Amino acid sequence: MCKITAIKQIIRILIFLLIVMNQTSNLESLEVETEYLRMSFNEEKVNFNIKELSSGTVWRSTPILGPGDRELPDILQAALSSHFYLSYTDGEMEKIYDLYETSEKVRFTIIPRDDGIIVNYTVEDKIVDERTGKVRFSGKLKWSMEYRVEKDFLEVVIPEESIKEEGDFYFIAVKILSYLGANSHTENGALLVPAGHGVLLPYIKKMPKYGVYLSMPIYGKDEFNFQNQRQLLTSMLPEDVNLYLKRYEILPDSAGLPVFGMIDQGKSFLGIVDKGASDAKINAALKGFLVEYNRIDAQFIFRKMYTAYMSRTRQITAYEKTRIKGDRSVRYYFFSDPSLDYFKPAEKYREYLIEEENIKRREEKPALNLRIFCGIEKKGFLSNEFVTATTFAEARDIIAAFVQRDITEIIVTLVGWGKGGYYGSFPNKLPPSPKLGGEKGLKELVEYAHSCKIPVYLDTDYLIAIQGNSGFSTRKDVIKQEMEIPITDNSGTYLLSTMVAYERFALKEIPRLAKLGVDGFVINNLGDILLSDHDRKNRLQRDESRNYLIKILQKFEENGLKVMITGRNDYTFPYAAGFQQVPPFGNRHYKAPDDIPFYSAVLHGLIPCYSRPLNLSEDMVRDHLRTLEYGILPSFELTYRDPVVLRETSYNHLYSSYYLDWLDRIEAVYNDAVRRAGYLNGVQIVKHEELVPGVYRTNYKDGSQIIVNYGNNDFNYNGKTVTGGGFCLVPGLSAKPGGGEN
Amino acid sequence: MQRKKIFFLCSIVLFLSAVAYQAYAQDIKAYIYDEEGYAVPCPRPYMYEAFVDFTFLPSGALYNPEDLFIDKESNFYIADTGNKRILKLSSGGKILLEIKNKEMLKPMGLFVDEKSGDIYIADSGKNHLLRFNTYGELLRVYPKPASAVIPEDFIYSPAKVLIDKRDLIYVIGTGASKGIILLDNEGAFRGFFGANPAPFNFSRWLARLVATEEQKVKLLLQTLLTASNFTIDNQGFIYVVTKAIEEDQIRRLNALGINTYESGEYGEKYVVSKRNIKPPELSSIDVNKEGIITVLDGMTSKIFQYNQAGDLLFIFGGKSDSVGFFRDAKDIALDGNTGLFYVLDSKQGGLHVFKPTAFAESVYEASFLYNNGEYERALDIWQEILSLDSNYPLAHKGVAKALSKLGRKFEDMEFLKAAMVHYEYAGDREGYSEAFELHRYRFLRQNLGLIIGVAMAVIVCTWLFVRLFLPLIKKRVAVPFLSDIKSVFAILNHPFRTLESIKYNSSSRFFLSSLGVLFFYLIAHLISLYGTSFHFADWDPNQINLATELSRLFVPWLTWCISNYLITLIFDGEGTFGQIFTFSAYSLLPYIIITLVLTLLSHVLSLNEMGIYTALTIFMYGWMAILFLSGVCRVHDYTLRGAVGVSALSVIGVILVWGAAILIFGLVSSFADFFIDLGREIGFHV
Repeated sequence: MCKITAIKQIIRILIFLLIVMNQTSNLESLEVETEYLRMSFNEEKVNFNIKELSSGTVWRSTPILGPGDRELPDILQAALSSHFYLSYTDGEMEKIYDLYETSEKVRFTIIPRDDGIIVNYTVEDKIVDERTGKVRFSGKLKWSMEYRVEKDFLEVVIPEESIKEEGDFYFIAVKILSYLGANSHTENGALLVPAGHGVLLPYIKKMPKYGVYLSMPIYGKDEFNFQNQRQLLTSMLPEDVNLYLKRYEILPDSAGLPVFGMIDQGKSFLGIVDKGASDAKINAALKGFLVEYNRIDAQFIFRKMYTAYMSRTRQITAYEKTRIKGDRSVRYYFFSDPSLDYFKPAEKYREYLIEEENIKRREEKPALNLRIFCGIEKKGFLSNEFVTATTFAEARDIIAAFVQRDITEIIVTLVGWGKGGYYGSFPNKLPPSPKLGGEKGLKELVEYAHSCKIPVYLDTDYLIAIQGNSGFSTRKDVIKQEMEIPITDNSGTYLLSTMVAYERFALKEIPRLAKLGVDGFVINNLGDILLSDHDRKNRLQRDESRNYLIKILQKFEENGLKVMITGRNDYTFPYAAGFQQVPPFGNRHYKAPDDIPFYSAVLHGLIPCYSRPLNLSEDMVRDHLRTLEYGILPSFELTYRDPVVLRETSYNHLYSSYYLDWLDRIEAVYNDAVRRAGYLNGVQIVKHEELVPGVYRTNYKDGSQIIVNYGNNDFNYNGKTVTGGGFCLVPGLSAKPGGGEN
Repeated sequence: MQRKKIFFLCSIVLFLSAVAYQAYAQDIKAYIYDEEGYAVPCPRPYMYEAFVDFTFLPSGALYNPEDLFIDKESNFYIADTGNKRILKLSSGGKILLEIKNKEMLKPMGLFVDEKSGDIYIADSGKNHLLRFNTYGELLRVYPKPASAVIPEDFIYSPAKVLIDKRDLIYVIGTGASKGIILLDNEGAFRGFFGANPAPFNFSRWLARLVATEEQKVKLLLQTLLTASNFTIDNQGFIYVVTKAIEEDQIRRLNALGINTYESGEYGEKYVVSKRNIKPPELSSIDVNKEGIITVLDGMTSKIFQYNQAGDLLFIFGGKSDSVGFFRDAKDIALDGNTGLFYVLDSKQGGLHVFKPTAFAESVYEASFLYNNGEYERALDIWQEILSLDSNYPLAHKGVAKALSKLGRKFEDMEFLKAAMVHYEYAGDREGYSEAFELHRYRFLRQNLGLIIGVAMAVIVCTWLFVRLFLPLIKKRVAVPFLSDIKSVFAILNHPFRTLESIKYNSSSRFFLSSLGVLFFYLIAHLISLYGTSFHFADWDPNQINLATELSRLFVPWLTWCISNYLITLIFDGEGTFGQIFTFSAYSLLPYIIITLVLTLLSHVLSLNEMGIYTALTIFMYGWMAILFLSGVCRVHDYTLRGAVGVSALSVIGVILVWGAAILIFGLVSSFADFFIDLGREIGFHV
């Protein structure tokens, strides 16, 4: 027995050596070099190596089994040595097939070029009916993958014109470079997943019972569940408890940023999905999930799966008939860094945004965001009844109360200001509600605010459309799922097609909105809900939807209006004057590691972010500390009247907003966030770490440091005491003299 | 073969991990129900602190744990059922004791006796109770109790166990055993305790009639509903939760086994499908020092909190993988020393740790004071709570109660008015009525002279109007329409004469006035809906919808007309449809008048004088019934007996018409569904 295993072991090592020699000898056959990178290709196989020239670290496109590794079944071995993972379907559009590069159905040719190679793939397949022996489906799938090295990055492109479907087979999805840099022996390291504020999935040291696998569409799922929208459905009869239950379904938070990364001790890479991000997923898997490799990749979707409800009892899952078109590309940046840090990738992405996407620093003052809720309609006997929480004149009094306390570095956001109040007349935004003071009242309010140098924003939305309001048809103009089923909450709320939102509403309305004299608008949902529309006539893919949303933003810009957005999808970055409703703590899986301030590392100092209203937080101390830690500016949502008036409306989650109750507490937050730490608003975050459990330090580029202590016990930081539930600011170069000192 | 196996394993792993790692969603809050039954969001009572997954244990992580117990020193006891062991841990997570014993096969429940520190285990694998001392040595095994009352084939499978101050042992069994079994400390059977009376069941009642003595015992056991879990408080009350019953899901049993808790519905029904709504599956209960009762629904993993008066305080939790939710919550426990709250998650094999928010602590304190009758002391706390959640119904109730007390004490009308407003927000009609009565009393005392003066003036004016003005008007105006109106009112004092005139005149003459009556019938109804004072209006004015009100008023009435017409056609009635229409409309007149009176009265009466209100309502319906009956009698020329018979048949006819309508509707909609589905199928494949 012993002998046999020994022999086996020797054979295995020999095979391993053979493979390594084989690969290394062939790899030198083609090389492309820039000042930062050298890429060596193998002309027969697709395998390549990338060497970062400054440090000499090497990344392999596919891993090689080491002598200590477990032998893998063929299928997993095939997965490991493949540069793509293709899923496709046949003419019935119901089944799914998949294959790897090593399959005998795949044929490829490699064409070298100056800056890399092009690999043309052809897959030939046929499906034979088992009973009759007849060929049911046969056909070919063709595509190519271009590898290009430029400056400090590798770009992988699947050009649209190379994608061909001949015969009865159709593309569903392609995963690319799943095992780039995949490792099984590195102990210290993590996968960077852009969920929540950013998450690092640390490598597992001990083999776990179950694998860890995370798959998330970059801009969230292409579906909308009304029950998840708290603002729209909050109060219901006991019979509707099931609706309420559905609200508790947890969808993964959209990544929002088209980036992913692998951060190892000594070397790391960052992937940026440059084109085709609208229909792409990021998949991360830790060692122990199928194979013992940590890996992360991007997957491009060509056809989405959907469920067709044929009757109450019968449903079919099928794939869309039309293919999602467009170029697809991913860029990989490589770093060598002895410390285990995600700030280098974050800075690279920031540079990418500034250089490639032309994002400029917003010249905004640090400010506290004061949301003022004005009014909403509730169901009445014959028509809806308007419930007033704050009129425009009363809003002026609220502002005056703050100005009196010398709280002037604020922005004011009016919510529910339109005719019909909150969402009442959507998709129409104008005129301002006469019940609140009308256009005249609003203009007076704005004039007053401007005299105190306070900008005024109006909250609005381009997604929600309420049945019965003019300007749209619930048959033609709303977003539909496959099989022409409109997305609705079944009580009159629909989602407006982005094309209609732009062509019929934004184009006409925005010039009129500009005449109100306000500084800008806050657009809800625009930065986190991106949906395709399956209307038979005006079919919109997510990418096209996205383009219309961008056009809306451009229209605002043309008319001299600033735009703040809720949700932080990257396509809004060039236009956003700020982000609102940023949750201090995202909801997370209870086994997932804590968030990291990846968003803050990328955006802080470029675009300001405002938190969710802190007056609705159950633990304001904790949330306030988090906003300081992550460089998020605080928000509050107030009313002039006791919010008990809202208790029978669908806005009854605003249960604590009476402004006199909150003045003192807001002033305390203002002192911390604006008077003391406000100067950091334009400064980049360069480091963030946990000093001891519950105590975190954030370092800014100017040398400032903020230390927050979530615990109950005091913490001593360089001779300064950080009290439990408190924070400490160590001022840097750009601190105002006198300000900022603890 | 080998390969297949690997594939199989892979697919399992894939499935499991796909479920296990769905992350991140939005902020979700807790909620409660208000008096009208709406779910209202409220601040969370507990903030998620941590998840303890016990993988650090040298002997391995938990596997399907079932029970959690925290003693007074904050030591944790976990029945790690899947691993056949009991764990005792310090609050810091240090393992203090690990009990494994060959007598212990499936430890489902555990209880630690505070006096002796002994650990009692309910083992449903070997079907006995075990008692260990603090060092983990087996002291005693309690086998299945023997008694004449317990039949031979009685399956004894203990799942939960509890010891009271008198050292009596209470056992809840799974399987066939029903109810709580009471044993003395020697393990001898003492009886069944605190049985849930099962709802009446006709077939069971029939079976009881013919059963033998032995069968009767069996039947009795069947009718005792399964208690699912229990706990004991400092005063010795035993709190029991029962699964799958419609009400009294929570009971507080005294030493005699009598329920002393507010009777009502607890937990939340869960919806399987639109037509399949199931009662809650409460599976675990815990009571803290302040008397806050926390229960867990094992099906939905939601957590409900109530106070000693049976008021709902919070609902939170649920099933999900996000923090603050559970995969499969099995047991809950509150640590009395730290205030921390623990949830044992069986599927994840760990403990979720929660910390109470400031809001929840205020609610507990105020609720404790309130239940002890210290309303005025609780007032400040309730007001603080309202500043954090202006919708919280219990806080409104607390404020109202205190204000109403203060109002009585200082004879202050403003306090009482404010109390009424808060009672209305809280949806408390009785409280409102009480404050209203006090307010009315004060008002009457202050303004007695004025009220008498106004009343006198009204009487004099009416007399003058009737005596002087009416004759003048009568003489001057001689419009036919007015005579119609007169005929309408004539039905009140001269019903037979009016009915005669309906019978012998053309019914088209009465058409307009009938329509007028129907119109005012609607108006009077709406006035009563909107105008009735809050304490008499047991409906929610915000839910009123014109379409439903119209159909509620007119559909039964119209079907009555049709049905009566058809029935009298068969039974030789003489009336035409027009006549039926007219007299049926005229018979609604008492409703118009008395409803308006009732609406006015509701602003004067308190709920203590409900008798007057009810009597008037009964009088109104009686009057209407008599008018309908005499209408049938006169118009169709029946004897009284015949009229009663035909009316009864007409009512049956109404039911039949509705039945037919429902049937037709069902058929048509099924047909429509069929064609829609067919269309969809064709559309899908084309």
